[in-house]
Amino acid sequence: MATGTGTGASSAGLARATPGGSVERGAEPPFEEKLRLFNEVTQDLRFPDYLYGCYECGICVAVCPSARFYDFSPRRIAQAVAREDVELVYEQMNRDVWECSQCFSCLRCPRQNNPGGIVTIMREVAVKNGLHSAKEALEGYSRIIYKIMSTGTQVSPDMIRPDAFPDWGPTAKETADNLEVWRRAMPPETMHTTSSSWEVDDKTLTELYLIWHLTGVLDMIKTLDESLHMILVDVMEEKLEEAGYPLGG
Amino acid sequence: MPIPINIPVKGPAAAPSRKGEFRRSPDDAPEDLRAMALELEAKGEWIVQRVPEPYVEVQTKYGKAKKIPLQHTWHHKSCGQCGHIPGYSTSIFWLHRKLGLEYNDPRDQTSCTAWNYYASATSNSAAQAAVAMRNFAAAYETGYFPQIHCATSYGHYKEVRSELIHHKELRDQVRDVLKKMGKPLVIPEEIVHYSEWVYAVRHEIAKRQVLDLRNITATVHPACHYYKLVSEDAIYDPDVYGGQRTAIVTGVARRSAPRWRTTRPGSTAAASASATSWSSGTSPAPSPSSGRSR
Ligand code: SF4
Ligand code: SF4
Repeated sequence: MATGTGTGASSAGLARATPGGSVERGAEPPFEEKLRLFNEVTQDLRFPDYLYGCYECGICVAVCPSARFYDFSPRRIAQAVAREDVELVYEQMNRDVWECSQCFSCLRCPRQNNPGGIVTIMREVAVKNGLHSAKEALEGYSRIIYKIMSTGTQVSPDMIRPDAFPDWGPTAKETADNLEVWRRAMPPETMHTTSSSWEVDDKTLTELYLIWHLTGVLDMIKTLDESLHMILVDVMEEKLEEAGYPLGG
Repeated sequence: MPIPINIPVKGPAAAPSRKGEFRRSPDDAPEDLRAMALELEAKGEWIVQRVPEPYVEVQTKYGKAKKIPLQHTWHHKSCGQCGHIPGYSTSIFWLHRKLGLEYNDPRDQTSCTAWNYYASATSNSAAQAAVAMRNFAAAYETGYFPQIHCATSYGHYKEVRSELIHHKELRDQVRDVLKKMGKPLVIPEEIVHYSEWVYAVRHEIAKRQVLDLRNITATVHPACHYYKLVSEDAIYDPDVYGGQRTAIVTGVARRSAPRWRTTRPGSTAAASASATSWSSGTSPAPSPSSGRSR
């Protein structure tokens, strides 16, 4: 899962709550809004398993790859939530959380904490509430979100382009030019495709779309990126209705 | 005059039996999620899909046995492998065919979507669990048992299993979602990575070895490319590097270099393992560390 999104997002204190609940660049939101976000983090069902107190021993910092390259510390994350420091947690949600590479090396915490897991929850709350830091950190990532949510797979052969893979040298161009043929030549028939990792049945995809609808993931996307949400709804609606899952927009 | 000190000192839970030998104490083992899954099944909460025979029993980090099915497996493919390094999955299937082991390469499978989740947080625990359980239900419907190619999916599904076992509200939510698509809530008895299967059949692969690989240096970072998370469910074999690191790659690499010793002195297990035969339809002989198989 070492899928770093360490982008060094906006600095704290530049985000503001709107009546719709989303937080945009601007003035500080009131303390009550920060407290609401803090409570969303601590009320996540995983939270009690992720924090048991903190010795401040710094073992998590010693093993953390992001701590080596950013002004980031998993100990500070654990400490801020453990001390219920609402202001600092808000500040971290606006910057630090996007510097974690989610490698979970910090699981070796002697207190059995999971600082990386706390970061996962904080990021989720940042996305769900449309925090500016989330929008900024995920700018340019919509293509991947679209791929995984619409095709049910994340890495497709047609992503192999010479400009995207300069380290592949001439092989990338050759592969891209003859992609269809390469894929057809492969023994597993499920891999005779260029736009998804493998061929996924229509019924399977429809079931996946149903999951995105029923678990609130599409609502999260709406808060993050309205145009991506519209495209995804377009792709999903017809299939869901055809299959007898009338969900509306 | 020195003051006598009489403080009861608890010794190490499992003292090494001889210098250089490394042992973990079963007392340090975390809770047994497989037993908890079976308890939930007894309460009617879900179905536990049993590992089909024949299987090989291996040993995990704290000494618990893990069943690795040899065939009749449902191949949960990997986004990264199939998309950009398809020779990976192709080789796994090729090995199955070479060994005459039956498998299922489904289209009724999605990504676990965890790679995206840990990168962008554009999902949540309910969605992640529902995606996992949809895939498991799809495997169950075919009668084949999941074998997971991707280390991310393998690590993530073990976390999802733990979350589902510990949180009834999550189970209820996911059960409702699956019910809408007419699927049951099913958890596999074991969560099995393809490299564990390779480890289980390494002696059979070695019998068919045509290239001498003894001068090749192999390396892997097991935390990233094998167990990912939940290392206590990974295979650790006292006969492989003294049980100090995961056995899967090291065991296979050593098996490919015939001049190397593959077992501790006095162990006869390797001999019985190389006599493994699954053509009879019964369970194979024990692997070096298993002690028994059913
Ligand atoms: S390793 Fe655990 S106890 Fe130590 S500083 Fe990090 S979170 Fe706190
Ligand atoms: S998961 Fe933990 S160790 Fe890894 S980058 Fe994040 S805080 Fe650091």
